[in-house]
Amino acid sequence: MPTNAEIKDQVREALIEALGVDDEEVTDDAILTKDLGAESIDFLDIIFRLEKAFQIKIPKDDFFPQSILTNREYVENGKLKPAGFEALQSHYPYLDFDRIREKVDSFDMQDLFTVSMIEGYVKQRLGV
Amino acid sequence: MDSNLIGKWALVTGASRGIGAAIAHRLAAEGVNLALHYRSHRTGIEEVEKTCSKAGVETMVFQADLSEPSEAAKLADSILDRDLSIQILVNNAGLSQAAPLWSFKGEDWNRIQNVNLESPRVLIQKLLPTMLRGRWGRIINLSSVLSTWGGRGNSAYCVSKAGINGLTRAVALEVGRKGITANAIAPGLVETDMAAEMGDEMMKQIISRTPLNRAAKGEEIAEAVVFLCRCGYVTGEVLYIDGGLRQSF
Ligand SMILES: NC(=O)c1ccc[n+]([C@@H]2O[C@H](COP(=O)([O-])OP(=O)(O)OC[C@H]3O[C@@H](n4cnc5c(N)ncnc54)[C@H](OP(=O)(O)O)[C@@H]3O)[C@@H](O)[C@H]2O)c1
Repeated sequence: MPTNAEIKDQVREALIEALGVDDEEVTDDAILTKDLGAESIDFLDIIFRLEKAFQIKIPKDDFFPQSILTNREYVENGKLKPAGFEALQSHYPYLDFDRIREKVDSFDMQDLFTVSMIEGYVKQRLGV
Repeated sequence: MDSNLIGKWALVTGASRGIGAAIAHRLAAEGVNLALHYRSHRTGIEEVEKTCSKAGVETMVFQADLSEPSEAAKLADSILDRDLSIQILVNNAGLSQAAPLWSFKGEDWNRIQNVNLESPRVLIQKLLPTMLRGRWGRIINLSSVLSTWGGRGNSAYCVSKAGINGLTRAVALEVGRKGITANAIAPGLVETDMAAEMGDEMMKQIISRTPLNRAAKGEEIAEAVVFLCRCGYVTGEVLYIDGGLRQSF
């Protein structure tokens, strides 16, 4: 089982390679899309590299909560409803819910895909 | 021979005859290993495999009836199960059926869309991660001049080929930054069984309107495939290989 430090290093390496960014850009809070320039195809690449690095299978839905965010029961006029919040919590426990709570009104899902979220996801999957 | 193609793996669908067979032969001559797909023409694919092996490349044969909705995914899975890293995908298998729209049966319509449009979509989706891994990929879809024209009695085919142009252009935008190009080749008339099905009269008419005054050979389409494999700076294009046919309308 990899240590926390090893997970951190390997996640960073996957991001650096997939996104072609510099080491120092990959800070914990860096948002993959807005700060590191990730496009949708990059997520496929990232998933791919993480799968290889950690020998896990990552269902695409784990990184793309589309089914929740396009569901009117959960999101209305760009606003996350309480039911949506709960759905996210149960399906995506590794997300940063403090951050979501702060911004339920002008919620942008992209903001959640930070370097530390990816790390959190891997840790959860590996049971670390 | 361009060294950057040697040892790469290509999947050519519909490689048992016609344009697909010519593409397979040409890629083999470039040193490309081949996953050869066919539906029913067993002797044809065996012949193609033999010729390609003689060129010194590795080959593997896959059977699938792509008019069945789930078959394209199964084909991709069996390729992935064998750990073949397909970096060149040639969606060539094609089906046409001439009938006026009012008499077209829903199931026939769907078979054509499944072979010509849906299967390429599935194969692209499933094989993209492999191209991504190598940061190099070529997606080449066989379209037709009928992708931009209305062909009388060919509505299902026209729709599928117009769709493949749209798919090609959109995919090109999504994958470009990963070193993957996506292009379509739109032939006019090519000397194959599909063309022969039109009948002599129709073929003569098309040839008389073609400035080069003849049908293309499969090899001439295959040449364009090799060009698109080599040239990494062409993407999102529909390349017309039609002997000038489009200009005479
Ligand atoms: N010939 C022309 O004038 C022309 C013009 C414009 C565009 N095109 C396009 O070029 C491509 C190749 O055409 P072609 O003239 O070489 O056609 P062809 O001689 O009729 O050969 C068709 C190929 O597609 C395969 N195929 C047909 N139905 C299939 C199905 N249900 N599932 C899986 N494979 C299937 C066949 O496999 P089996 O033989 O093993 O059954 C064969 O290998 C097609 O996409 C066609 O639309 C051709």
